[in-house]
Amino acid sequence: MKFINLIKKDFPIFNRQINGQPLVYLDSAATSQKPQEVIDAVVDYYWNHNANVHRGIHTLGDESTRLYEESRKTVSGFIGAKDPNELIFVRNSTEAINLVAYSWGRQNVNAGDEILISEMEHHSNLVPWQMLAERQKATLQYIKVDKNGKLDILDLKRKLSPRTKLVSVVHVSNFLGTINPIKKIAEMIKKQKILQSRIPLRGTKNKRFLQPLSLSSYPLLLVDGAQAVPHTPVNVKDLGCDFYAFSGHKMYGPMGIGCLWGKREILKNMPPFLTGGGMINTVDWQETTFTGLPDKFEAGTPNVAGAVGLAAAVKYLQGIGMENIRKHEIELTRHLIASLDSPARNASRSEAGGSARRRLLARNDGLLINILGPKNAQDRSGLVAFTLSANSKEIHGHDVAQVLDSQGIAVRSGHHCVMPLHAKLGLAATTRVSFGIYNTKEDINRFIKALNLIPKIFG
Amino acid sequence: MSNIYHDLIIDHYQHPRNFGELKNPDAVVQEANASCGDLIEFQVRVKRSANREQRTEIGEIAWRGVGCAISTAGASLLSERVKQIRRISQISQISQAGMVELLGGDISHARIKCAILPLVALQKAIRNVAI
Repeated sequence: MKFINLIKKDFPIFNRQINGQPLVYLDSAATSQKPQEVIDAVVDYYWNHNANVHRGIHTLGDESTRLYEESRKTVSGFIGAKDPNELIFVRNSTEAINLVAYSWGRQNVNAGDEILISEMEHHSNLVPWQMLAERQKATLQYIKVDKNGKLDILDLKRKLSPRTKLVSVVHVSNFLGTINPIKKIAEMIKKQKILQSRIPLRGTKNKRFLQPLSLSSYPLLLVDGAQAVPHTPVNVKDLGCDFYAFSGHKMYGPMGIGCLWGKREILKNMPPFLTGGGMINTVDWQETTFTGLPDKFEAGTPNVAGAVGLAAAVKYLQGIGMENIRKHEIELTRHLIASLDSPARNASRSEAGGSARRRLLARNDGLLINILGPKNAQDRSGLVAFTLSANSKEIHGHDVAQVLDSQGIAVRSGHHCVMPLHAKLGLAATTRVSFGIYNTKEDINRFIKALNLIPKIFG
Repeated sequence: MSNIYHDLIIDHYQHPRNFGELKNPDAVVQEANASCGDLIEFQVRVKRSANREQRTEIGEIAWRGVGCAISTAGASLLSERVKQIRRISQISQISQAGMVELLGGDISHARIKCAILPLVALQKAIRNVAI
């Protein structure tokens, strides 16, 4: 992308200095920064159009409703949904997943059933299922993560059973960066459904069972796309999932707006999650009937400014092109991994007058970095978590982040809401660098330079 | 940050005092900081006086755990402080501000929970022995 250096100018926050240095923001997986266009859209909504939706007859009410529903169209089109009403506005991915767990889960998951998630889930796609399993006396099972940080697909195959009601997996891991093969998983689930539909045929001569049966409705596939939608083209129809959850604030939109996409026929049969105003047909003293999609799942006054801001973010992303963004992030990730990978080993081999990269690594003397997740930039999204030792002593992620902050560089440290996998890997805390469209190789070079301070401070 | 990793903290981080285990502790308390993955365990042994019923002073103290420079140095400094003051009533009165002061006073808002972790563990241990 020839204009990548100009993108930073679209984001007013990069005018800021942090500790006397221009900001290098490497924490977009936690939340992305917002371009001026998104901020303008939110301001314009409150300046010129603010009114409640679906209620007033007056001009502003009409404008506000139209803006809200246009936003739904823009965002649903962006992820390849055919019908905008399949897109429910919620607060964030967490709420989207909770909506499914409470509404669909309580209706469909019963004692003895199984819910299958992976070991690399963010707590947001783990805790709701733990709670549901406990309540419904169902079992929560985990697809293993292999030593390369990828999903063990054979383990998924082993664990799919007629008792599996739902498979819920993350599209892109916020910790390992792994991009999971959602299409392949959807195909495996489809095979399982076909297999299950034929079960009554076995051991029976009754002609009745030879009638073509409709495909089993289980298991369903939910995908947590919070870390995928901002970074790579996503098409829910193409992926073959039943639910897709994502957050606005990670894709350059405002905080407090997120989406749940679901297949129409599934959403239609689900009971409401939250109840109240805006989602009813009729209410009498004892009974209420509910509206259709999507209002049934949007009780109360919605976040209209958030939806409008999110639509502006989508248009901004479309202007750059998701394919271009993916290419740019692969390039950055490759550069980062090359800069981080075993610097101490490389440094000891490096000679004066070596390549630019070698010289960079040579300055890292005393640092040993262990990169988590797949090593190939093609297999992962634009984020890299690592542990770091300085002079053979492991340095806590918080200390790494604090030193980097002193140089104006923002990274995340801790367990990134993936505690069980950290425990399995024997890690207390890691440091994570994650990219947005505004990042450049120059940012990475500044980050590497700042890492050199660590052995000096803790050496 | 320039001041956060001053000599005192780096010294206690690299050479933590009273790090280890006690043989027959009267109380063992683990405290974890969920958002960091830090874990600190304090072990205390009450001073055996002539009157065995009296549990007013800490005789021995040890701690172990994993954590960042701030929580590690904090636990180390706190264990030293306990050895100075000894009296359970006084130890239980160490405040969060007192803890920050013990660490040299220059702790940013984001790191307060790192600084407080050892204090929470220690005071829980103290509560368990003080009857």
